[in-house]
Amino acid sequence: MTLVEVVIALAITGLTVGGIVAGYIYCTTATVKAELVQAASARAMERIEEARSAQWNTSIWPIVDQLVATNFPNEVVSLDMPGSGSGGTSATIQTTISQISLTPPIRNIRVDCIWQFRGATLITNTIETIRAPDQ
Amino acid sequence: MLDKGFTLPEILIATTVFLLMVGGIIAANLFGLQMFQITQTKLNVTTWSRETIEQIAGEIHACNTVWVGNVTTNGVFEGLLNGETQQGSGLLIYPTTSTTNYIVYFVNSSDETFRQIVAAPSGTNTVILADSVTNAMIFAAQDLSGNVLTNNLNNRVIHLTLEFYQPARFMLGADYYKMETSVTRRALQ
Repeated sequence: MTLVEVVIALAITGLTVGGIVAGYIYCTTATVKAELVQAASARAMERIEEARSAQWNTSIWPIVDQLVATNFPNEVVSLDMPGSGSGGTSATIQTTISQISLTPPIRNIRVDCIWQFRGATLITNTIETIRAPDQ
Repeated sequence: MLDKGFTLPEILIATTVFLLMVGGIIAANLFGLQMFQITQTKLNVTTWSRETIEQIAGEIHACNTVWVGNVTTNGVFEGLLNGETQQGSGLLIYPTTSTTNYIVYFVNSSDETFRQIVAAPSGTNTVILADSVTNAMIFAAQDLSGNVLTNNLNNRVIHLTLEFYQPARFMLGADYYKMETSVTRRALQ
């Protein structure tokens, strides 16, 4: 067995083991990313629920209307995920409220949860719903 | 001429290479096992939390009334009164106008478990939903801006915060998980 053979054998072994380890790391990273996607979706849903609780009553005078964009400013939140060593991931919650129709009065509530995965590209989770007054 | 076989240095080198290979493969598999355990724990926690949140959210969405309060050591739910800070360890949900049918979620501080009690005329059933819950005041009634209320406002948002901690175990480090969600009752009256 020559030195060249030994070096080649070690290189092949290193590549094999490296491939296995890289596969494991990829799986773990994909899991963390999937968790963050779910956490971002849950955060966006929280804001939707808050918007659902806003009073918008057109059947009384003066009309009560809390469902306006100024009541839902941008908010920086942390995404919940298991693992103490994973560090926190921050996200920005943006809320857009737009009028769909005046008769009947219906508004669209759009919540974007914008976050970044390990410094890479920005990812946005969006949830939209519509609601009417007195709900 | 007969083969002389391998020399001692050749055998030593071959054995060393073989040991390196076996060691590397074992190390890679141990690493994979650790990654698998971490991933499995994360996925289990995520699945459980989302399923539980869906269940609680569904019950609050459709309920008749919902109260934030505290559960005493005797297992009695004490709702917070109008004027008190609406933050406590328990949540009482009446799905209908019947007071014999109700659901209570609470943290049992003695064993750090998150529990659900479902009461019906046929009997009461208690289920442990999670353990290792470290925070006591898990429920809060908030306004649309996330401020904790001091009254029983009709259109309040029920906010749930659960913090879990598990100390380090074999091949696994300590684990901390915080989960939050907000739910608003739909059937406003």
